[in-house]
Amino acid sequence: MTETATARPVPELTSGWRLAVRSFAQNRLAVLGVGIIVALVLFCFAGPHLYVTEQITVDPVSSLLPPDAAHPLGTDAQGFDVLGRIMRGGQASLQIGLFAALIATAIGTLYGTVAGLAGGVVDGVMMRVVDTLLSIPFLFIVLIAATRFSSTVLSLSLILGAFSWLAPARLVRAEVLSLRSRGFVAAATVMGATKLRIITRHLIPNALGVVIVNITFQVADAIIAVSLLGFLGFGLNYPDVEWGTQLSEGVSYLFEGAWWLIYPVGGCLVLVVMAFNFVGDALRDSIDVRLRRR
Amino acid sequence: MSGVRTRRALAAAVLATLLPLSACSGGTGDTGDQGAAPAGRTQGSQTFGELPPESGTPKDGGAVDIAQQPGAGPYYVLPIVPGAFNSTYVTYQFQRLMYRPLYWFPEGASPKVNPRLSLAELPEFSDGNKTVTIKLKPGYTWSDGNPVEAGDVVFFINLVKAALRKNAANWAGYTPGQFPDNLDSVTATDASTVTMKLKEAYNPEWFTTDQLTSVVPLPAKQWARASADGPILDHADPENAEAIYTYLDKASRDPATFASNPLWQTVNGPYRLSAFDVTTNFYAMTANEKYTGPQKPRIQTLNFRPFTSETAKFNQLLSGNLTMATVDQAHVGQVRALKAAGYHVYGAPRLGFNFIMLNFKDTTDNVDKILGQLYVRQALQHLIDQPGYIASKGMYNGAAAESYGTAPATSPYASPDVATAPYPYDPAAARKLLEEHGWKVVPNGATTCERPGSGPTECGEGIPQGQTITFNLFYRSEPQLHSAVSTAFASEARKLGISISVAPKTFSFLIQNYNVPAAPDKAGEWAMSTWGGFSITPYPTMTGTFDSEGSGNVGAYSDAKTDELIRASVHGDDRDAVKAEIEHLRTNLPVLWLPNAHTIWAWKDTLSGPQETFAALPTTVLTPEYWYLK
Repeated sequence: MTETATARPVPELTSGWRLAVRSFAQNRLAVLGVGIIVALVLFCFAGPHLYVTEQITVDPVSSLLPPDAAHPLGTDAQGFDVLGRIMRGGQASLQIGLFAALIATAIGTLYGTVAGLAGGVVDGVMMRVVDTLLSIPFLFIVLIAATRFSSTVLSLSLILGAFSWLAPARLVRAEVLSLRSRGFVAAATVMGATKLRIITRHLIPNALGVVIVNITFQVADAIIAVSLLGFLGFGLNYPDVEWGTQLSEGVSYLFEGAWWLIYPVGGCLVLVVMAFNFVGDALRDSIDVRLRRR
Repeated sequence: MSGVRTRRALAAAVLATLLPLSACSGGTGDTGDQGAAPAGRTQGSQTFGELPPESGTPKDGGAVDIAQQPGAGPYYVLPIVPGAFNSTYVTYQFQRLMYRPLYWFPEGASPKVNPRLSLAELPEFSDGNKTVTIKLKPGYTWSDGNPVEAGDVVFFINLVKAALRKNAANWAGYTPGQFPDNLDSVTATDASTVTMKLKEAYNPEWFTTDQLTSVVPLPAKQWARASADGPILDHADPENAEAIYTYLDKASRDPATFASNPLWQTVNGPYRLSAFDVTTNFYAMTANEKYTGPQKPRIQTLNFRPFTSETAKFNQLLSGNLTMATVDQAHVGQVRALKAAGYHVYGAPRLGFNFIMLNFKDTTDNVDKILGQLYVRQALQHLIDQPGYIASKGMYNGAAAESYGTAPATSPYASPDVATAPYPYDPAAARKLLEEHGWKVVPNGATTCERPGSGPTECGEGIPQGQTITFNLFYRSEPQLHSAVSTAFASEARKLGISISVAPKTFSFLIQNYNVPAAPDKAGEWAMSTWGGFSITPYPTMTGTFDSEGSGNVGAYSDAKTDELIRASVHGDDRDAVKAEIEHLRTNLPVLWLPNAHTIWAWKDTLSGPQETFAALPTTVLTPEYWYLK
């Protein structure tokens, strides 16, 4: 009897990130979400190059035309082609959503990390500040700020970002409270690492999963928030537009039967918010090992 | 997906989908009989629909729900209204129900004094029009039983003087040199006679319809005190008058106590305030059972309901939750649906004019210098397509009349050319004007001044080389009409390289902040604004509005010839003097003229009353004491 070597399966080398990506790719809703986001980004940013419409000069005579061959989604009160308008409005809505989310996440991450690492009185004071700000209705603060500044993509992003960092700050603080008691942080401390180094090299990278998941939700929230501002009349002004302002203007002609001013832009808004939520949920499930499918 | 995430995603869905569902209930987009008419209307139509005849058997009691204009709640009670609070929603629709003016206007839809509703007989002028004798009608009393006396008229005048001593902006009706500066003396000759000695002779027509219509007798026996429990003071003493005014003004700025403060319960009008919700601006009035005017109120309660948008208001109207409300131009197409829901609908241009206000005191980026040039104003007016705006479904939807002046076509003083554009829509003419005055026009870019100087072919005094033309334009956030008009104007201007940034503000914000006499420190924040226009008095001189010192001169327009013509309107014997003033303003453009929109009202067919009381609705004047529920 000869001894034969039995081929034994070699375990695949997998990192945590690779497992997360695999888990994400297996989530059908996540893939659908990514598909919708990519499609809408292409629609809004590449669309105007393929479907060229006049979006600056008002045409009162052509106002409120129903959909036809010349205007597949009709025209609005100013005579703008609605399909082209949705593309233009989508650019602003997506830009504001992304910028505001990045700003909020950056502030919240830094704030939460410092609070979590510092602990004690500093943490207490910093989190009471968060609690206090959370007790003030978000919309109230943002509306006051929006009335004080002219509405541009940048100013709306800054306003929304500046008042949306509270939730990420809490999440990151909780993560840091857990991380700071881990051995690698204690080791770094013993080795003389400064607080800044501990934050930037150890805590933030390890809390990145929470941060990334939060960004997707922040984008969705910011898109809703800017649409709400626009709906209430505090959105972008001519010649710029975002989806909330479009909805608001459409509502004025609600009783005229001008459905094309409401459904298409409303559908885009629902789709993009839903897509970001799908992606966010899937990312959370993928990154959190406890929720990951095995 | 977590519950929170689900709810947020749903919020977006609800926002986008539920609203159109309610739209479906509003109709199919068929404009119906009344709605079809606008598209084919000429751009000079004077009425919208017809007045129904009075019908049914009058019943006492009941409640009527009336919609307030979005963002235009009344925030001041004392009928000496500061410029920052002044609007017809405050004076005509709020104060007049409680405090009757000495002389009432209009009479139905006619822009003239209504003797029947006035507290006094028409004044007698003597001594070369330098003495005015006013006889109060007998029988009028305050709700506390005291008669409305000559002393109450004098009390008002003393309070106005006290208010103006503190700040000229404390009374919106003030123009330096005019009422009450023009009074040499005012005395209560007896309980029912007031004698005014004037410093100069005045046009009786103007003095009656412009000056005396702003006099509102106040209950001196109740209000002439400096604190709630203080003694009645002699208001002829200026110090006392100032103390009284300070007390009343303070109470008048406190909406939380409007309904509870006993001060405001002493009224001589048909209604008194019974509730005021400072959170929502809802307010209610109840019938003054001691009203001694020509018609005792039949309806017991008037509920004035606040709204944040025209669409919300229209929705409530269509669902039958409002007895009456205005209908904005965006909903004109739904008149058939309203009629089917049991409403009468009627509209007409109001007694006034619409415009884009220009700020001649905005020094930011030399706006004042640029707007100070008549050729620039002419060029801007050339960019406004009134017939196109009126025809556009997205703007006036046919419910407006072309108008280029301060007197509407219904005024007997109106220029025959009031509906003829002095500077008709003509972008090429606008461009030519700019180029002839030294500007390099860059369509869709930045037009710049190339020939500075004050010569006839140069840009104008104070305008440097390289100057661009950049304005901001703030429009009233509701109704949508203002946004559409502002955007169209900015779009046309852009084609000539003129940059106009547009942004919405509420009505209250605009009149309180973007108003040079009322808020001079904010003069540098705005170049243009539009909110719906001015109402005018029966004698349509623009004293107080476009004369250099007028406290209602929102944009601080100043023109020597206008001042001279206004002076002739005010002081001359010639009743037609105002015509020359109107014609000059028509072409000198203190503002940019916009179409005179129809003010359209809808009211339930269960509400009725004399036809003329409903004919007055487009002037924003309410006389609900004549109405009844069938």
